[in-house]
Amino acid sequence: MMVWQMAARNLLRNRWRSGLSIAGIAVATAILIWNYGFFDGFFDLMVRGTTEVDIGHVQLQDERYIDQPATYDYFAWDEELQDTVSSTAGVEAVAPRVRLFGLIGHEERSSVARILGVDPKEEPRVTVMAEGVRQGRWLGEEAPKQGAAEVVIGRGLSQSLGVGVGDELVVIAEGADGSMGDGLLEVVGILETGNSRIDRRAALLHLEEAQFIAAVEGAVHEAILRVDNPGSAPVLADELQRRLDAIDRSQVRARSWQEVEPGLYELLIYGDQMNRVIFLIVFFVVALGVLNTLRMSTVERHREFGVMRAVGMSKPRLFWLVSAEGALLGFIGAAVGGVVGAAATYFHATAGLDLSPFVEGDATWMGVSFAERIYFIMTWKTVLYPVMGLVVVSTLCAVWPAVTAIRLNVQEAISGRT
Amino acid sequence: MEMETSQDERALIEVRDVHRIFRQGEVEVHALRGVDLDVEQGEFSVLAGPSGSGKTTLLNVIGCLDQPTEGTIDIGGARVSDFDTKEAAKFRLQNIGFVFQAYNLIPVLSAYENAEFVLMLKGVPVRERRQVVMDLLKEVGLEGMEDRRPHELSGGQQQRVAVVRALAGHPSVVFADEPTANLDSDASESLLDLMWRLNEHHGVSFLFSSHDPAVIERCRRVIRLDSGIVVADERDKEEGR
Repeated sequence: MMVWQMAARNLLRNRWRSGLSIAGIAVATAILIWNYGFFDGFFDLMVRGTTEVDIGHVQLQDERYIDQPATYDYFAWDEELQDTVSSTAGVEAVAPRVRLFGLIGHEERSSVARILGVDPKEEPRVTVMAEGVRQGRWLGEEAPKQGAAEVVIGRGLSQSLGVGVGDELVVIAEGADGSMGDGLLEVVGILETGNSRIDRRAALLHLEEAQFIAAVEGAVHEAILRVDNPGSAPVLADELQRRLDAIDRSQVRARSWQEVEPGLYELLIYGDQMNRVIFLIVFFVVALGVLNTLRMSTVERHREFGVMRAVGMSKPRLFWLVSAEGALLGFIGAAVGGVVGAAATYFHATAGLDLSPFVEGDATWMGVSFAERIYFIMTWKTVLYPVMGLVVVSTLCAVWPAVTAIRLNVQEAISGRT
Repeated sequence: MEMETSQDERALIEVRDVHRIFRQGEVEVHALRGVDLDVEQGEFSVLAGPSGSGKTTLLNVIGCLDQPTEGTIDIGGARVSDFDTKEAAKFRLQNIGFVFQAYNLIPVLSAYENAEFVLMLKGVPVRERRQVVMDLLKEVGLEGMEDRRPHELSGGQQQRVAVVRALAGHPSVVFADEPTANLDSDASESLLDLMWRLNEHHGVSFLFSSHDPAVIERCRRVIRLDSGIVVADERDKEEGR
């Protein structure tokens, strides 16, 4: 008779009690997996909404621009710098940008806009802004040689100005040299990225056009980088900074998204800690239930344990028998919960979870809109951590009953005096 | 932990000046007060006496389930009174069989599995286990009932399974504490017949603890205890079958 077989039969002795414990473990496992998938999806949305739409994984800016962004705090985007950045290990793509604030008007209405000069070919390799065009099209590969310059504007700006694709706008902005730059623009696309900072105020122009308006020909205010591992962006930024210092461009600072958006990064850490606390609370509640089941089960069997010991069963073997019951209880519950939780999480990872019934209007948090669906993230960790955790918890819950069993006085146990 | 094989001069069990004192708070209960006893190989003996005379306590200390407060116990030349719990468990597994008052079969195991339990603990191969257990079950009249769980067997049948479990590991001695206490007279008679037969066929010693007259009548030797001492030792008694 194998230990596992005996453990299984012992669990079946009180089907209701064992069944309820298994159900408790299963529900806890499923909730933890779902919760894990939700939070990973939630934070991924925030990170991607921030890095892949706006700030990239690593940013290069003039050190003065970091302290107080001003049009005149630009840096030369020359070939040496571009080569240095592009050849850094881990860098997948680089997109230079010109940033300035200006006034954009259409007939009787005008609005302050965040003007972004972008490279139409490089920008889509770093951000998903081009994918956010809901009407019209993305900027052409080349800037028009004559006539109005092309502009893609955010949905909010288009609404406040009352313009659509094909309408003409006028832009006025202060250049880096103090002059007032202006230009005639034609709306070629309306943008909706989910990032409110872009959607409400952004106006995207060809890089050369923005350089001309800002009077910073051949220079940029920032370059944003896409890296192969966003989690290790700080390490890459440090390495890049060393390389910049080596070519005597130390005034250009390389900063990871964690440094650029410390609030978001802290939120992720806080979220991770919160997840651990939730895990611990669930583990604790499950442990109480399992402990109760196993303790009851063993207290009822003192005489049986006494007989097993009397006929020669060793203490380690008896300990293992009782522990196996806890492990089996945990395994069955966690397996059932794992399947249910994984199925629910997979469903929301593919179909998404519509949060709009739970948020009012265009709810945003740290610039990220939650008006759309949240897509859960399911990895092996999402399922394995809760499953393994609860199997371990359930097995550990058997330790106390098992120790009680092996410490029984054999004669007293056999005679039923315990 | 196997017993010594060359025991021509010595008894199978040698109990010397054994005391057992239980302490319950400030109170000391002297359950055994200097017991001296020899049990030979192949004996069919009973510890008899009124309740509280110390017969179960003596059976427990001889059976390595308890340790004497004073005195020595040797079984097959091994000083079992000096064993720690681990050594005692190993010795019980290899050398001793037990039959308890309340059957005490493991409810989740079938008759066959209960009977093979000791062999499994000893690490006997499956095929050999099956042979030994099936032969014994047949011998005690439980052939065809091997798949039944304890609750599907009568009290007498359960006690027969317990006897098979006790004998399966080929012990040199079987200790039986009030084995007939929960049985009716027919079942008791039948069980005693069986044990007598097994004693004769297998040469294994049986030491009972009982105040059942039926048991006392059937044993060749009656060791009477009172207040923790041996007050009479009736040897070579006529078997009353």
